Formats: sequence, structure tokens, C-alpha cells
Amino acid sequence: MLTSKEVFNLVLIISIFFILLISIIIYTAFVYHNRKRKHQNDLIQFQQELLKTQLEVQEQTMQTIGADLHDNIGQLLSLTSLTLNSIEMEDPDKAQQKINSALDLNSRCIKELRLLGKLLQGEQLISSGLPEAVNYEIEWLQKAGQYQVDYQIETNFTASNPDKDLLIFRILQEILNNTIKHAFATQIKIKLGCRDNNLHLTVEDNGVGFLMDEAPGKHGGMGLHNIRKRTELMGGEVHIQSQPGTGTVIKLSIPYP
Amino acid sequence: MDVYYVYYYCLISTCLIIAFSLKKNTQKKISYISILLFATLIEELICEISTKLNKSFSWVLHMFCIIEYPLLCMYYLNSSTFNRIRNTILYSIPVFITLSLIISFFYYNFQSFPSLNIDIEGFLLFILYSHLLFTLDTSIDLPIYKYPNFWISIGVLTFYGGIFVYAGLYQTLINSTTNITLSLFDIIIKPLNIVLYSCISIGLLCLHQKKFST
Repeated sequence: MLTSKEVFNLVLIISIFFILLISIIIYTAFVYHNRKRKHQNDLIQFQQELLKTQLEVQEQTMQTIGADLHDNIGQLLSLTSLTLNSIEMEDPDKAQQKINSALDLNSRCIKELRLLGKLLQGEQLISSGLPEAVNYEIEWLQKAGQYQVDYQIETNFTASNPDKDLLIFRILQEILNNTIKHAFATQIKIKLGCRDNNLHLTVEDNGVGFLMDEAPGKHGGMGLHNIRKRTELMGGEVHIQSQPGTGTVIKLSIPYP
Repeated sequence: MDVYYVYYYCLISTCLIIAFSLKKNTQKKISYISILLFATLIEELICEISTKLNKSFSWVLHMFCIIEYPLLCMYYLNSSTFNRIRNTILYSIPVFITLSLIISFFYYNFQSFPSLNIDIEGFLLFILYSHLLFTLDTSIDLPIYKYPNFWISIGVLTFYGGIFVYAGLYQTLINSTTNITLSLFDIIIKPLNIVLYSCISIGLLCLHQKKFST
């Protein structure tokens, strides 16, 4: 038979135990809702970054087209016009030479325009796969003749995630922009693969390299910051190895698809 | 009058005033809270007066049970977005009222403390309000503690969880050890009452804030 004191203690302890259990339930609900809110926040950030990336890719493409139209096609057409204007009908041989010259310039112009068209298609190619989009970007890079690009892609690259493809494509563009502007490189190696549900992208150049604490130029610093931010947004990791005189290696590992 | 009762009645009255000030421009569910607070005030006053006149007030507690459960159920139904068991909860109201009246009449004869009624009510409300707590429709703009349903759920869960054992054993305890029972009332019931109505008032203030910020 329990004494009054024991009954008092028993009821009190059991009631306190119940209240503690309820506190745990309330705390769990609090943590659950905080995580849900953070997840929703992350999703919104991801969508915003995706939109920003789409605009940047379009802007980059337009800039490239604009530059090429001005520097390349504009020059070719001007030269064609000059050549045709300088034709003298009195000298048929010279006139024929100049006409041939004008035709040659015209062909080159058409070839350049076709490549520009491919570049526009390249942006849309992201929807048909990252490897193809990267391929077109590299073709464009090699056109200038300044860079020797070694592009390797693993044959079992079958997975696809259009949203991540766009972000990864933009990261690659950012890396290549940095290489063109700051590295003074002649060789670029790009490896793209997908294994163990992770996408691995390695970009290596034989440029001048840099000290990690002193990222070259304000824009270069911002470029690296964007690369890190976008990679982390996708839950991935980026490793940058660079020393002055030894080139730069950038390795990305991103959960994929 | 005891300081606790002064504070307790002021707290309920404050809740009632806030609820009435919100009633005009907010949702129907505030009406249920207003009626519950009003009923609580009446119940406490009747118990107070009956104690002073040395009369039994157990019948008030029996009646309060069958008023409290439907009001809290209706508040839940107006707050929750989970429609699957809506009809079940609606049907549970008349079932609970009938069951409670049967227990009160045949088992307690409206004379003893309604331990079973309160425990059944508490168990059912615990399930409903746990569900409400986990399925709050939150947005990223507001932290969870700014939602009225968060506070009202905490109040209901803490109160009914805390009084479950005491309420269930009340009649046994009062028959054998009156002093211990009254001591336990001071330690368990009084603070839980304050917690319940404090949470309801915080919930109503959150609704007040929401109304002025939109």
C-alpha cells in the first residue's frame, strides 16, 4: 500500500514526465517547420539563380554574336563591298580576280554566319544534353585558333537534369572566360563525366596561374565567387588548384541528376 | 481572493477582450475561441460562488466538458487544411457529447469530478492538436512562432497532457488523501491553466499583429 507522500510523488513525476514528452513533441514540430522553411527558401534561391543564369547565358551568347558580327562579319562584308566597288570593267582579268576575291570573302562570311547560327543553337542544345552544349562551346573556342582544347567525355553519360545542366554550362562558361581573360593559356583540358550519382567536371589550363588569395582582377574574383556559389547551391563541391607559373586546375563534383 | 485567481481571471478576461476586438475582421474560428473563453469565465465564476456557498460544482465541470470539446474541434476544423477526416471529426462531436452525458449521468450522477470525460476529451484533442501543430501552413516570410495556431496548439497539448494523470486519478485521490489532492492541484492544475490561457492570448496577439500588418 502506497503512502500519501508516495502517491503525491508518483502523480507529480508522471505528470512532469508527460509534460516533458509534450515539450519534446513541440520542439520536434519547431525544428521540422524551421527545416521546411529553410528548404522552401533554398528552392526559391535555386530558382532565382537559375533565372539569373539563363539571362547570363543569353547575354553571353549575344555579346559573342555582337563581337563576332562587328569584328569578323562586319569586316568581311566591308572588304567585299570595297572589292566590288574597286572593279574596273575596262580590265576584264583584274575585274575577274576581284570578283573571285569578293566571292571568296562572301563564302567566308556565310561560313561565319553559319557558325554564329550554331552558337545560338548551342544555347538551346542545353535542353538536349550538357555534353553537346559543352561541345559547341568548345568548337567556338577553338575557332579563334589560340587554344588547343582536349575534351574528354565519359561514354556512360546518360543522366540528365535540365536545370542543373544550365547552371553547370554557365559555370563552365565562367571558367573559360576567366581562362581567356587572365590565364594566357594555350592548352585547355576539359573532362566531363558522371559516376556514382555525381557529375565530375575538370578544367585544366597551362596558363600563368594565380595565388588563391589574390584572384586576378575584380572580375576574376567575382567569377570564382559565382562558381563556388552556384556549385554549392546544387549541393556540390569545387576544388581550385593554382600556383603562379603552374596553370590552374578546377574540379567540380555535383550530385547528378 | 487568492493572487492566482486574480491573475487567472484577468488573463481570461484579457484573452476575451483581444478575441472580441479581432472578431469583426477575422475568421470564424475566433468566434469559437471567444465562446470558449466566455464559457470558461462563467464556469470559473460558478465554481467560485458554489465553493463559497459550500455547494457542489461538479455538474458545471460535466457541462463544460460537452461545451469545450465541440468548440475546440470546430477551431481545429477551421484551422486545418487536412480534409480527409473532416467528417469523422464532425461526427465525433455528437458522439462525444452523447458518451459524455451517459458517463456523467450513469457513472458519476453529475456529482463527482468528471475524470473519464476529461481524459477522453484530452486524448482526442491531443491527437487533433498534435496534427495541427505539425501541419501548420507556414510561409517563408514568417517564423513559426508568429502563427496563432502554433501557440494555441502548444497551449492545448501542454494543458491536456499535463492534467491527464491528475484528472484521471482525481476521484481516487480526493477520497483517500484530500490534502495531497489539493497540493497537487496547486502544483499541476494552476500553472497549466496559466500556460493554456497565456498561449491562447499570445496566439490571439499574433493574429492581431497579422491583421495590422496586412
